[in-house]
Amino acid sequence: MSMLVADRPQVTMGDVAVRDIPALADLLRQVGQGDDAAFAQLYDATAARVHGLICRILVDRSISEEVTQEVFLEVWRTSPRFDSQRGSALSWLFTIAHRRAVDRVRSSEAARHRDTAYVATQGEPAYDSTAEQVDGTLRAETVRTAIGSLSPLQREAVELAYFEGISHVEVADRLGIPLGTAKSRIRDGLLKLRSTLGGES
Amino acid sequence: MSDEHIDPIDYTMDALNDVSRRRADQHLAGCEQCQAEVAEWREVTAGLGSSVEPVDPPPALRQAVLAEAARSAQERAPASTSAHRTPSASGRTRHPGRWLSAAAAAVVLIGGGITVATKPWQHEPTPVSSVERVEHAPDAQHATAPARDGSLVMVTSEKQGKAVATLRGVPNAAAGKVYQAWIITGSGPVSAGFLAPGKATLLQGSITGAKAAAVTVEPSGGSKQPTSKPIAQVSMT
Ligand SMILES: [Zn+2]
Repeated sequence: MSMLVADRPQVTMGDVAVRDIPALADLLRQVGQGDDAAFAQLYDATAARVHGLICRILVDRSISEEVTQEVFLEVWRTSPRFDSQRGSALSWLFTIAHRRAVDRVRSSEAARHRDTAYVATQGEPAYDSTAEQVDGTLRAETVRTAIGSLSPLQREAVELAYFEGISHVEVADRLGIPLGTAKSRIRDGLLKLRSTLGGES
Repeated sequence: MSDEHIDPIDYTMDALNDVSRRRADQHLAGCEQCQAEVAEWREVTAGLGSSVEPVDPPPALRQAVLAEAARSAQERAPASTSAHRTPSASGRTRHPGRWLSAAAAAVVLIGGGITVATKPWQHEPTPVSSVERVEHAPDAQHATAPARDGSLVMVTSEKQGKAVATLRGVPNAAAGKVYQAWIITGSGPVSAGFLAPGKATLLQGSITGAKAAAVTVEPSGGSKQPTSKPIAQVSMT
Protein backbone atom coordinates (compact mmCIF):
# COMPACT_ATOMS: atom_id res chain seq x y z
CA MET A 1 0.00 0.00 0.00
CA SER A 2 2.65 2.51 0.97
CA MET A 3 4.43 1.80 -2.31
CA LEU A 4 1.35 2.87 -4.17
CA VAL A 5 1.16 6.03 -2.19
CA ALA A 6 4.77 6.81 -2.89
CA ASP A 7 4.44 6.67 -6.65
CA ARG A 8 1.21 8.52 -6.69
CA PRO A 9 1.05 11.06 -9.52
CA GLN A 10 1.82 14.60 -8.52
CA VAL A 11 -0.25 16.17 -11.26
CA THR A 12 -3.40 17.98 -10.28
CA MET A 13 -6.53 16.90 -12.02
CA GLY A 14 -8.84 19.75 -11.27
CA ASP A 15 -9.26 20.51 -14.90
CA VAL A 16 -10.06 17.16 -16.35
CA ALA A 17 -12.53 17.54 -19.15
CA VAL A 18 -15.43 15.71 -17.62
CA ARG A 19 -17.34 18.80 -16.72
CA ASP A 20 -21.07 19.05 -16.82
CA ILE A 21 -22.99 21.60 -18.56
CA PRO A 22 -24.06 23.53 -15.46
CA ALA A 23 -27.66 22.50 -16.02
CA LEU A 24 -26.95 18.94 -15.03
CA ALA A 25 -25.38 19.83 -11.70
CA ASP A 26 -28.23 22.28 -11.07
CA LEU A 27 -30.76 19.62 -11.83
CA LEU A 28 -29.11 17.21 -9.45
CA ARG A 29 -29.08 19.87 -6.75
CA GLN A 30 -32.78 20.45 -7.27
CA VAL A 31 -33.38 16.73 -7.08
CA GLY A 32 -31.53 16.84 -3.78
CA GLN A 33 -34.17 19.23 -2.53
CA GLY A 34 -36.88 16.73 -3.28
CA ASP A 35 -37.94 18.22 -6.60
CA ASP A 36 -39.51 15.35 -8.48
CA ALA A 37 -39.98 17.33 -11.69
CA ALA A 38 -36.23 17.95 -11.71
CA PHE A 39 -35.74 14.25 -11.14
CA ALA A 40 -37.82 13.45 -14.20
CA GLN A 41 -35.72 15.89 -16.21
CA LEU A 42 -32.51 14.41 -14.89
CA TYR A 43 -33.74 10.97 -15.81
CA ASP A 44 -34.63 12.06 -19.32
CA ALA A 45 -31.29 13.75 -19.74
CA THR A 46 -29.11 10.93 -18.49
CA ALA A 47 -30.97 7.62 -18.53
CA ALA A 48 -29.65 6.51 -21.91
CA ARG A 49 -26.08 7.23 -20.82
CA VAL A 50 -26.45 5.43 -17.54
CA HIS A 51 -28.30 2.53 -19.11
CA GLY A 52 -25.71 2.32 -21.88
CA LEU A 53 -22.92 1.89 -19.36
CA ILE A 54 -24.88 -0.67 -17.39
CA CYS A 55 -25.74 -2.64 -20.53
CA ARG A 56 -22.09 -2.57 -21.53
CA ILE A 57 -21.08 -4.08 -18.20
CA LEU A 58 -23.94 -6.48 -17.61
CA VAL A 59 -24.94 -7.30 -21.20
CA ASP A 60 -28.19 -9.01 -20.19
CA ARG A 61 -30.95 -6.53 -20.98
CA SER A 62 -33.42 -7.39 -18.25
CA ILE A 63 -30.79 -7.41 -15.52
CA SER A 64 -29.48 -4.13 -16.88
CA GLU A 65 -32.93 -2.61 -16.64
CA GLU A 66 -33.25 -3.66 -13.03
CA VAL A 67 -29.91 -2.15 -12.22
CA THR A 68 -30.69 1.08 -14.06
CA GLN A 69 -33.83 1.35 -11.97
CA GLU A 70 -31.86 0.76 -8.79
CA VAL A 71 -29.31 3.33 -9.82
CA PHE A 72 -31.84 6.07 -10.39
CA LEU A 73 -33.58 5.35 -7.13
CA GLU A 74 -30.24 5.53 -5.41
CA VAL A 75 -29.62 8.83 -7.18
CA TRP A 76 -32.95 10.07 -5.89
CA ARG A 77 -32.30 8.98 -2.35
CA THR A 78 -28.75 10.18 -2.08
CA SER A 79 -28.94 13.35 -4.16
CA PRO A 80 -29.07 15.58 -1.05
CA ARG A 81 -25.43 14.58 -0.63
CA PHE A 82 -24.35 15.63 -4.09
CA ASP A 83 -21.77 18.37 -3.90
CA SER A 84 -20.78 19.91 -7.20
CA GLN A 85 -17.54 21.12 -5.61
CA ARG A 86 -16.46 17.53 -5.27
CA GLY A 87 -17.22 16.32 -8.73
CA SER A 88 -19.44 16.50 -11.76
CA ALA A 89 -23.00 15.25 -11.86
CA LEU A 90 -22.09 12.81 -14.60
CA SER A 91 -19.32 11.26 -12.59
CA TRP A 92 -21.70 11.00 -9.64
CA LEU A 93 -24.16 9.10 -11.81
CA PHE A 94 -21.54 6.90 -13.42
CA THR A 95 -19.98 6.11 -10.07
CA ILE A 96 -23.25 4.79 -8.73
CA ALA A 97 -24.02 2.97 -11.97
CA HIS A 98 -20.59 1.37 -12.25
CA ARG A 99 -20.51 0.21 -8.68
CA ARG A 100 -23.95 -1.33 -8.84
CA ALA A 101 -23.33 -2.98 -12.16
CA VAL A 102 -20.04 -4.40 -10.95
CA ASP A 103 -21.66 -5.67 -7.78
CA ARG A 104 -24.23 -7.38 -9.94
CA VAL A 105 -21.79 -8.85 -12.41
CA ARG A 106 -19.91 -10.42 -9.55
CA SER A 107 -22.95 -12.30 -8.44
CA SER A 108 -22.83 -15.67 -10.14
CA GLU A 109 -26.33 -15.27 -11.47
CA ALA A 110 -25.46 -12.22 -13.52
CA ALA A 111 -22.21 -13.78 -14.68
CA ARG A 112 -24.13 -16.74 -16.03
CA HIS A 113 -26.62 -14.60 -17.92
CA ARG A 114 -23.84 -12.49 -19.19
CA ASP A 115 -21.97 -15.28 -20.93
CA THR A 116 -24.97 -16.59 -22.76
CA ALA A 117 -26.54 -13.24 -23.54
CA TYR A 118 -23.44 -11.58 -24.88
CA VAL A 119 -23.88 -12.40 -28.56
CA ALA A 120 -27.56 -11.66 -28.57
CA THR A 121 -27.29 -8.11 -27.28
CA GLN A 122 -24.35 -6.84 -29.26
CA GLY A 123 -26.63 -5.30 -31.84
CA GLU A 124 -26.54 -1.68 -32.75
CA PRO A 125 -27.09 0.80 -29.97
CA ALA A 126 -30.18 2.93 -29.73
CA TYR A 127 -28.94 6.45 -30.05
CA ASP A 128 -30.46 9.19 -28.03
CA SER A 129 -30.12 12.80 -28.94
CA THR A 130 -30.67 14.06 -25.38
CA ALA A 131 -27.66 12.06 -24.26
CA GLU A 132 -25.55 13.89 -26.77
CA GLN A 133 -26.75 17.25 -25.53
CA VAL A 134 -25.96 16.34 -21.98
CA ASP A 135 -22.34 15.72 -22.67
CA GLY A 136 -21.39 19.35 -22.66
CA THR A 137 -17.63 19.51 -22.74
CA LEU A 138 -17.37 15.78 -22.64
CA ARG A 139 -18.35 14.46 -26.04
CA ALA A 140 -18.34 10.77 -26.49
CA GLU A 141 -16.26 11.23 -29.60
CA THR A 142 -13.62 13.14 -27.65
CA VAL A 143 -13.40 10.41 -25.11
CA ARG A 144 -13.17 7.73 -27.75
CA THR A 145 -10.31 9.63 -29.30
CA ALA A 146 -8.64 9.87 -25.91
CA ILE A 147 -9.10 6.16 -25.39
CA GLY A 148 -7.71 5.63 -28.84
CA SER A 149 -4.51 7.36 -27.73
CA LEU A 150 -3.76 4.55 -25.27
CA SER A 151 -1.41 1.83 -26.32
CA PRO A 152 -3.30 -1.32 -27.32
CA LEU A 153 -2.05 -3.10 -24.21
CA GLN A 154 -3.09 -0.25 -21.93
CA ARG A 155 -6.44 0.02 -23.57
CA GLU A 156 -7.08 -3.68 -23.30
CA ALA A 157 -6.26 -3.67 -19.58
CA VAL A 158 -8.25 -0.51 -18.82
CA GLU A 159 -11.32 -1.66 -20.70
CA LEU A 160 -11.18 -5.10 -19.18
CA ALA A 161 -10.94 -3.62 -15.70
CA TYR A 162 -13.66 -1.03 -16.17
CA PHE A 163 -16.21 -2.75 -18.38
CA GLU A 164 -15.93 -6.36 -17.30
CA GLY A 165 -16.37 -5.63 -13.62
CA ILE A 166 -13.50 -7.89 -12.63
CA SER A 167 -10.71 -7.41 -10.13
CA HIS A 168 -7.21 -6.54 -11.19
CA VAL A 169 -6.13 -10.04 -10.26
CA GLU A 170 -8.65 -11.37 -12.75
CA VAL A 171 -7.47 -8.87 -15.34
CA ALA A 172 -3.97 -10.28 -14.90
CA ASP A 173 -5.29 -13.82 -15.19
CA ARG A 174 -7.24 -13.09 -18.33
CA LEU A 175 -4.29 -11.44 -19.98
CA GLY A 176 -1.85 -14.04 -18.71
CA ILE A 177 0.42 -11.41 -17.19
CA PRO A 178 1.65 -10.77 -13.63
CA LEU A 179 -0.58 -8.70 -11.37
CA GLY A 180 1.99 -5.93 -11.16
CA THR A 181 2.08 -5.66 -14.92
CA ALA A 182 -1.69 -5.56 -15.14
CA LYS A 183 -1.88 -2.86 -12.51
CA SER A 184 0.72 -0.70 -14.17
CA ARG A 185 -0.97 -1.04 -17.56
CA ILE A 186 -4.23 0.08 -16.00
CA ARG A 187 -2.56 2.89 -14.11
CA ASP A 188 -0.54 4.10 -17.09
CA GLY A 189 -3.59 3.91 -19.30
CA LEU A 190 -5.67 5.96 -16.92
CA LEU A 191 -2.90 8.51 -16.49
CA LYS A 192 -2.71 8.84 -20.24
CA LEU A 193 -6.44 9.19 -20.46
CA ARG A 194 -6.40 11.78 -17.76
CA SER A 195 -3.78 13.89 -19.41
CA THR A 196 -5.45 13.62 -22.81
CA LEU A 197 -8.81 14.63 -21.41
CA GLY A 198 -7.32 17.24 -19.12
CA GLY A 199 -5.12 18.79 -21.80
CA GLU A 200 -8.14 19.39 -23.91
CA SER A 201 -9.99 21.73 -21.63
CA MET B 1 -9.40 5.76 10.15
CA SER B 2 -6.57 3.47 9.25
CA ASP B 3 -3.14 4.91 8.59
CA GLU B 4 -2.52 3.64 5.11
CA HIS B 5 -3.80 5.67 2.23
CA ILE B 6 -5.92 3.79 -0.25
CA ASP B 7 -5.06 3.11 -3.86
CA PRO B 8 -7.42 5.60 -5.49
CA ILE B 9 -7.35 3.82 -8.84
CA ASP B 10 -8.29 0.42 -7.48
CA TYR B 11 -10.99 2.10 -5.48
CA THR B 12 -12.40 4.17 -8.30
CA MET B 13 -12.37 1.26 -10.73
CA ASP B 14 -14.43 -0.75 -8.21
CA ALA B 15 -11.67 -3.32 -8.33
CA LEU B 16 -11.73 -4.00 -4.60
CA ASN B 17 -13.49 -6.93 -3.02
CA ASP B 18 -16.09 -6.20 -0.37
CA VAL B 19 -13.71 -6.40 2.55
CA SER B 20 -11.12 -4.14 0.98
CA ARG B 21 -13.76 -1.71 -0.16
CA ARG B 22 -15.17 -1.50 3.32
CA ARG B 23 -11.73 -0.86 4.74
CA ALA B 24 -11.15 1.77 2.07
CA ASP B 25 -14.47 3.42 2.88
CA GLN B 26 -13.46 3.67 6.50
CA HIS B 27 -10.19 5.27 5.58
CA LEU B 28 -11.83 7.66 3.14
CA ALA B 29 -14.26 8.84 5.77
CA GLY B 30 -11.40 10.52 7.56
CA CYS B 31 -8.91 11.33 4.82
CA GLU B 32 -9.43 14.46 2.77
CA GLN B 33 -6.45 13.67 0.58
CA CYS B 34 -7.81 10.33 -0.55
CA GLN B 35 -11.27 11.81 -0.98
CA ALA B 36 -9.84 14.41 -3.32
CA GLU B 37 -7.88 11.87 -5.31
CA VAL B 38 -10.85 9.55 -5.67
CA ALA B 39 -12.98 12.49 -6.79
CA GLU B 40 -10.42 13.33 -9.46
CA TRP B 41 -10.05 9.78 -10.73
CA ARG B 42 -13.79 9.56 -10.92
CA GLU B 43 -13.81 12.25 -13.52
CA VAL B 44 -11.43 10.09 -15.54
CA THR B 45 -13.47 6.92 -15.21
CA ALA B 46 -16.54 8.97 -16.04
CA GLY B 47 -14.76 9.52 -19.33
CA LEU B 48 -14.72 5.77 -19.83
CA GLY B 49 -18.40 5.68 -18.97
CA SER B 50 -19.08 8.42 -21.47
CA SER B 51 -17.37 6.50 -24.24
CA VAL B 52 -20.14 3.92 -24.25
CA GLU B 53 -22.97 4.15 -26.74
CA PRO B 54 -26.16 5.32 -25.03
CA VAL B 55 -28.99 2.83 -24.85
CA ASP B 56 -32.53 4.02 -24.27
CA PRO B 57 -34.18 2.17 -21.42
CA PRO B 58 -37.78 1.09 -22.07
CA PRO B 59 -40.45 3.71 -21.30
CA ALA B 60 -41.91 1.53 -18.56
CA LEU B 61 -38.68 1.88 -16.65
CA ARG B 62 -39.10 5.63 -16.50
CA GLN B 63 -42.56 5.27 -15.05
CA ALA B 64 -41.36 2.74 -12.49
CA VAL B 65 -38.45 4.92 -11.44
CA LEU B 66 -40.52 8.07 -11.06
CA ALA B 67 -43.32 6.29 -9.24
CA GLU B 68 -40.93 4.62 -6.86
CA ALA B 69 -39.03 7.84 -6.22
CA ALA B 70 -42.31 9.55 -5.36
CA ARG B 71 -42.80 6.94 -2.66
CA SER B 72 -39.23 6.97 -1.36
CA ALA B 73 -37.79 9.31 1.20
CA GLN B 74 -34.48 10.97 0.52
CA GLU B 75 -31.50 10.94 2.77
CA ARG B 76 -30.88 14.09 4.68
CA ALA B 77 -28.16 16.34 3.39
CA PRO B 78 -24.95 15.94 5.35
CA ALA B 79 -24.17 18.65 7.88
CA SER B 80 -20.61 18.64 6.64
CA THR B 81 -18.77 15.36 6.37
CA SER B 82 -21.32 13.22 8.08
CA ALA B 83 -20.85 9.54 8.53
CA HIS B 84 -23.16 7.33 6.63
CA ARG B 85 -23.82 3.93 5.28
CA THR B 86 -22.02 2.42 2.37
CA PRO B 87 -24.06 0.91 -0.41
CA SER B 88 -25.27 -2.52 0.44
CA ALA B 89 -25.34 -5.30 -2.07
CA SER B 90 -27.70 -4.62 -4.88
CA GLY B 91 -31.08 -6.27 -4.98
CA ARG B 92 -31.72 -9.45 -6.84
CA THR B 93 -34.42 -10.50 -9.18
CA ARG B 94 -37.52 -11.37 -7.25
CA HIS B 95 -40.36 -13.53 -8.35
CA PRO B 96 -43.74 -13.73 -6.72
CA GLY B 97 -44.48 -16.91 -4.83
CA ARG B 98 -47.25 -19.13 -6.03
CA TRP B 99 -49.63 -18.71 -3.14
CA LEU B 100 -49.28 -14.99 -3.38
CA SER B 101 -49.59 -14.43 -7.06
CA ALA B 102 -52.75 -16.46 -7.01
CA ALA B 103 -54.09 -14.50 -4.08
CA ALA B 104 -53.20 -11.01 -5.13
CA ALA B 105 -53.13 -10.49 -8.83
CA ALA B 106 -52.75 -6.74 -8.55
CA VAL B 107 -49.51 -6.80 -6.64
CA VAL B 108 -46.51 -5.36 -8.40
CA LEU B 109 -43.00 -6.03 -7.28
CA ILE B 110 -40.21 -3.57 -7.50
CA GLY B 111 -36.84 -5.16 -6.97
CA GLY B 112 -34.31 -3.72 -4.57
CA GLY B 113 -35.01 -0.07 -5.13
CA ILE B 114 -34.19 1.53 -1.86
CA THR B 115 -30.64 0.78 -0.98
CA VAL B 116 -28.99 3.52 0.97
CA ALA B 117 -25.74 4.88 -0.35
CA THR B 118 -23.51 6.49 -1.61
CA LYS B 119 -20.56 8.63 -0.78
CA PRO B 120 -18.09 5.84 -0.49
CA TRP B 121 -16.15 7.39 2.33
CA GLN B 122 -19.08 7.18 4.65
CA HIS B 123 -18.80 5.14 7.80
CA GLU B 124 -21.02 2.31 8.62
CA PRO B 125 -22.68 2.96 11.93
CA THR B 126 -22.44 0.28 14.57
CA PRO B 127 -25.65 -1.72 14.53
CA VAL B 128 -27.37 -1.76 17.85
CA SER B 129 -30.82 -3.27 17.57
CA SER B 130 -31.80 -6.47 15.82
CA VAL B 131 -33.61 -4.32 13.28
CA GLU B 132 -30.47 -2.37 12.56
CA ARG B 133 -28.41 -5.53 12.46
CA VAL B 134 -30.47 -6.66 9.51
CA GLU B 135 -30.68 -3.25 7.88
CA HIS B 136 -26.93 -2.80 8.08
CA ALA B 137 -26.02 -6.35 7.16
CA PRO B 138 -23.36 -6.56 4.46
CA ASP B 139 -25.67 -8.85 2.52
CA ALA B 140 -28.79 -6.74 3.09
CA GLN B 141 -31.27 -6.97 0.25
CA HIS B 142 -33.97 -4.37 -0.21
CA ALA B 143 -37.30 -4.56 -1.91
CA THR B 144 -40.36 -2.38 -2.01
CA ALA B 145 -43.86 -3.39 -2.97
CA PRO B 146 -46.99 -1.28 -3.10
CA ALA B 147 -49.31 -1.66 -0.13
CA ARG B 148 -52.60 0.16 -0.35
CA ASP B 149 -51.70 3.85 -0.66
CA GLY B 150 -48.19 3.27 0.53
CA SER B 151 -45.58 0.59 0.36
CA LEU B 152 -44.13 -2.41 2.12
CA VAL B 153 -40.38 -2.08 2.50
CA MET B 154 -38.48 -5.27 3.18
CA VAL B 155 -34.87 -5.63 4.13
CA THR B 156 -33.53 -9.16 4.35
CA SER B 157 -30.25 -10.70 5.37
CA GLU B 158 -29.83 -14.21 4.08
CA LYS B 159 -26.89 -14.85 6.35
CA GLN B 160 -28.86 -13.88 9.42
CA GLY B 161 -31.98 -15.55 8.08
CA LYS B 162 -33.88 -12.45 9.15
CA ALA B 163 -36.10 -9.83 7.62
CA VAL B 164 -37.23 -6.36 8.65
CA ALA B 165 -40.52 -5.06 7.31
CA THR B 166 -41.92 -1.54 7.34
CA LEU B 167 -45.28 -0.32 6.12
CA ARG B 168 -44.84 3.19 4.80
CA GLY B 169 -47.64 5.59 4.04
CA VAL B 170 -50.22 3.01 4.98
CA PRO B 171 -53.15 4.08 7.16
CA ASN B 172 -53.66 2.43 10.52
CA ALA B 173 -55.65 -0.77 10.37
CA ALA B 174 -59.37 -0.33 10.84
CA ALA B 175 -60.82 -0.79 14.33
CA GLY B 176 -60.65 -4.45 15.31
CA LYS B 177 -58.10 -5.23 12.61
CA VAL B 178 -54.34 -5.66 12.52
CA TYR B 179 -51.67 -5.94 9.90
CA GLN B 180 -50.18 -9.39 10.14
CA ALA B 181 -46.96 -10.39 8.45
CA TRP B 182 -46.37 -13.83 6.96
CA ILE B 183 -43.34 -15.72 5.86
CA ILE B 184 -44.23 -18.04 3.02
CA THR B 185 -42.38 -21.34 2.97
CA GLY B 186 -42.84 -24.37 0.76
CA SER B 187 -45.54 -25.57 3.13
CA GLY B 188 -47.48 -22.31 3.18
CA PRO B 189 -47.67 -19.08 5.17
CA VAL B 190 -46.40 -18.89 8.74
CA SER B 191 -47.23 -15.94 10.96
CA ALA B 192 -44.30 -13.56 11.40
CA GLY B 193 -45.89 -11.08 13.78
CA PHE B 194 -47.68 -7.76 13.43
CA LEU B 195 -46.77 -4.53 11.74
CA ALA B 196 -47.66 -1.02 12.80
CA PRO B 197 -47.52 1.54 10.00
CA GLY B 198 -44.26 3.47 9.96
CA LYS B 199 -42.46 1.12 12.33
CA ALA B 200 -39.57 -1.06 11.14
CA THR B 201 -40.24 -4.48 12.60
CA LEU B 202 -38.09 -7.58 12.79
CA LEU B 203 -40.17 -10.43 11.45
CA GLN B 204 -40.51 -13.43 13.73
CA GLY B 205 -39.08 -16.65 12.45
CA SER B 206 -36.45 -17.41 9.89
CA ILE B 207 -36.55 -16.46 6.23
CA THR B 208 -34.08 -19.18 5.33
CA GLY B 209 -35.65 -21.14 2.53
CA ALA B 210 -38.66 -18.82 2.49
CA LYS B 211 -40.24 -18.00 -0.83
CA ALA B 212 -41.86 -14.72 0.06
CA ALA B 213 -43.21 -12.48 2.76
CA ALA B 214 -46.62 -10.92 2.77
CA VAL B 215 -48.91 -8.73 4.82
CA THR B 216 -52.62 -9.28 5.30
CA VAL B 217 -55.31 -7.54 7.31
CA GLU B 218 -56.56 -9.85 10.06
CA PRO B 219 -58.91 -9.59 13.00
CA SER B 220 -57.24 -8.24 16.17
CA GLY B 221 -55.11 -10.89 17.77
CA GLY B 222 -54.19 -12.25 14.41
CA SER B 223 -54.97 -15.44 12.55
CA LYS B 224 -53.26 -18.77 12.33
CA GLN B 225 -53.51 -18.66 8.57
CA PRO B 226 -54.24 -15.65 6.35
CA THR B 227 -57.95 -15.03 5.98
CA SER B 228 -57.69 -12.32 3.36
CA LYS B 229 -55.69 -11.49 0.28
CA PRO B 230 -52.29 -9.92 0.90
CA ILE B 231 -52.18 -6.14 0.71
CA ALA B 232 -48.50 -6.47 -0.17
CA GLN B 233 -45.99 -9.15 -0.90
CA VAL B 234 -42.29 -9.43 -1.53
CA SER B 235 -40.78 -12.48 -3.07
CA MET B 236 -37.49 -13.91 -1.81
CA THR B 237 -36.52 -16.48 -4.37
ZN1 LIG C 1 -5.81 8.71 2.70
